[in-house]
Amino acid sequence: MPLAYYLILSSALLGLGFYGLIAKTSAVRMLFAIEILTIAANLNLVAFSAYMSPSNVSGQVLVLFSIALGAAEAAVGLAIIILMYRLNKTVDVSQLRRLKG
Amino acid sequence: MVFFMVDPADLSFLLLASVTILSALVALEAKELVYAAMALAVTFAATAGLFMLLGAFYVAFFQLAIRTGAVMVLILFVVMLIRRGAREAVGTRVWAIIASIAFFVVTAWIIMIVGSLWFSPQSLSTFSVTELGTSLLVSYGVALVILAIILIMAATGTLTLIKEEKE
Repeated sequence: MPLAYYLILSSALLGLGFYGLIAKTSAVRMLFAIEILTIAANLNLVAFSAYMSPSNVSGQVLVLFSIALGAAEAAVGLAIIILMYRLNKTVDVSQLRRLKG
Repeated sequence: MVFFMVDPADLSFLLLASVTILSALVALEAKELVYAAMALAVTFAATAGLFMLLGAFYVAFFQLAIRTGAVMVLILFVVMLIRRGAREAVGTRVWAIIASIAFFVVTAWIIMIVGSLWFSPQSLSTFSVTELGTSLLVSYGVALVILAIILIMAATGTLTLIKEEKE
């Protein structure tokens, strides 16, 4: 099983995440897309650490940090979505024009 | 036939990879937001399976516990709180599809070119929890403390954000 398979899967996930970020206007969907991007990055890290330096534990430690940071990011993002819904009664980011100059 | 000699690891990789891609697609495209959230949970779980396939059992456990567990519960709560019916604009959609497919083709092409330099490893090594924890606390102790501070700041910021102001 070559490393390239994992990298191609990771880049497919990255493309999906980009597509979600560009095409979707619902804030919740954009958060899902960001989660998919995070998955792609983590998969890349684990694959590289397993294949390139199998005796080094640093890559996995980095992924643990990344997972914890992802949890913090999801919490703050969801709080922002709740606030957005409470203030504007919508989660559609194209409707948020209050800051538009 | 070639199919009789398929390695079980290859087969499980193909299964997990297709489940990951399909459930990520469903997570982005499902009409109902709750179904999308469940599909995202499936994506997280399948990625944990891929981590296990790569020999990173502890990371896979963390992915299952934090992502599939805690983050999904948070997301489901928010989805329940938000009234549905937020219709989504379809203006830039074709261009988004074209752009992301082009991105994927270009990166896959580059990986195919460069990837011929990388061969499969002799053996995937799995680390024990003790090794990982020692490295986490000894080599990366400062980073761990900074991460703890970031988590506390995120929790405080979340509470401050969604606090109801009494006028």
